[in-house]
Amino acid sequence: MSYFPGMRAIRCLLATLTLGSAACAAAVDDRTYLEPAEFIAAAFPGATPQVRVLWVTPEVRAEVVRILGHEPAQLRQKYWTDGQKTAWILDEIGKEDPITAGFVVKDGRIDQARVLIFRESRGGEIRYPSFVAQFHGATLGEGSFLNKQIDGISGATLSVNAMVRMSRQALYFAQRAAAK
Amino acid sequence: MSRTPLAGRLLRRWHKRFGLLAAVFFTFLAVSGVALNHGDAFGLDKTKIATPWLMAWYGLKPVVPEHAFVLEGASFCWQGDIWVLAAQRVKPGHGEPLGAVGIDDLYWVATPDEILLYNREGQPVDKIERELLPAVPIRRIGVWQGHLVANAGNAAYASSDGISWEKLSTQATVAWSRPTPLAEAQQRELAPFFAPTLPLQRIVADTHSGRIFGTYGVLVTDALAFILLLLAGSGGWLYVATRGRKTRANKAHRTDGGDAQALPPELR
Repeated sequence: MSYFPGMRAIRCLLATLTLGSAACAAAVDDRTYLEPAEFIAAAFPGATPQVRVLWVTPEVRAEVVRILGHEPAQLRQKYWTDGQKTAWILDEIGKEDPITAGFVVKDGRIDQARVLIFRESRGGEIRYPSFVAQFHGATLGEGSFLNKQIDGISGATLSVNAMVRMSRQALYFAQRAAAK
Repeated sequence: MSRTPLAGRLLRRWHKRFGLLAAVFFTFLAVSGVALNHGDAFGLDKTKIATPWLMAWYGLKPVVPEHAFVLEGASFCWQGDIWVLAAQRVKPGHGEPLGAVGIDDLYWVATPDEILLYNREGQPVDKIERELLPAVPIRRIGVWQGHLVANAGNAAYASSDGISWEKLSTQATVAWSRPTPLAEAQQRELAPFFAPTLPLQRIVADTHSGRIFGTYGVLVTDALAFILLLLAGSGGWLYVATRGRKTRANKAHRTDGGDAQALPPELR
């Protein structure tokens, strides 16, 4: 029932705006910048890396909780290795949805960092090379923090923080994998 | 006898009455408005409300699945993104589940693009995605000699860990996971898992706008907005009128020699 004759027109306008917003939201969801399989292939050019698993034991879990500030998403973490470097594909929530990122760790340092899939509605600027290049050479310092400062991006603080947490997790996992 | 005009007295009286009535609603609107503005900080969007009468008020009813995958001593069923495994709600994957099996201490649930692994407590153990799957989309999964089997493409592949896969002989007898109908008693037991929920933010927003009470609620909120306009208008008029009379009375008071009792009570 309409309250007044113009209600129908207003409803049509609102419906159009809502559908338009939904279409825009759908368009920005799940942006895959690089397929995980392609990231692994690029990380080990000309070689077939071995897939291994690192179990999240209570000791590992405690440290991961300290790094992430919450429970790890899963109890078994896969990684790829050629004996010299390891590649990790990790998920972490920035604000509401998980960001998938890939890290290659060599000699305890981050060799490559890439945003693979971005599902948040804002903060996608973390995919730019100028941002991810900051992780190159980072190591795990005291208290499982990075040994270098990562400059933030205005309006993308939560995504930047998620990326930093994942990089610390990758370095920690690489340490554990090397100690096995 | 008061020297205030009748219209002024009436306006003042009704201004007070409407003001008192409106104060209750405006206090609620102010509180709910602030809560909505800071919904993220208060976690309103993450707080799920499942109160049955409220869900019934919204017209939401639980939709319990009619089929489940029966595993080793447990079952897996789902409805949308609500996945229930061994009588526990578990973190869902992406896509429609097409099979679930239990092998040793682990449960494996497959969707066309991934296989999810859970322990007996329902904790996610791992997620096997397309980069490690032998082929996609997966069509069905099953068990063969204690190994997980995935049917993808034109072949079946067996794995013990979900990471390394071997093509299975066509002669192998695989126990494929198939959905089986749930009895009414089982559906009743599962119903609480599929109870509808709404984020608290939605309920606060609907209450704030009056939409929670349907069309009439919105009209009442509109009426309140109209009352606010009236109050603003009558308040402004009273201010101007009182100020004018006060100025005149003060002038007269000074001329009369300062008798305080000469002032009407509201101007003293």
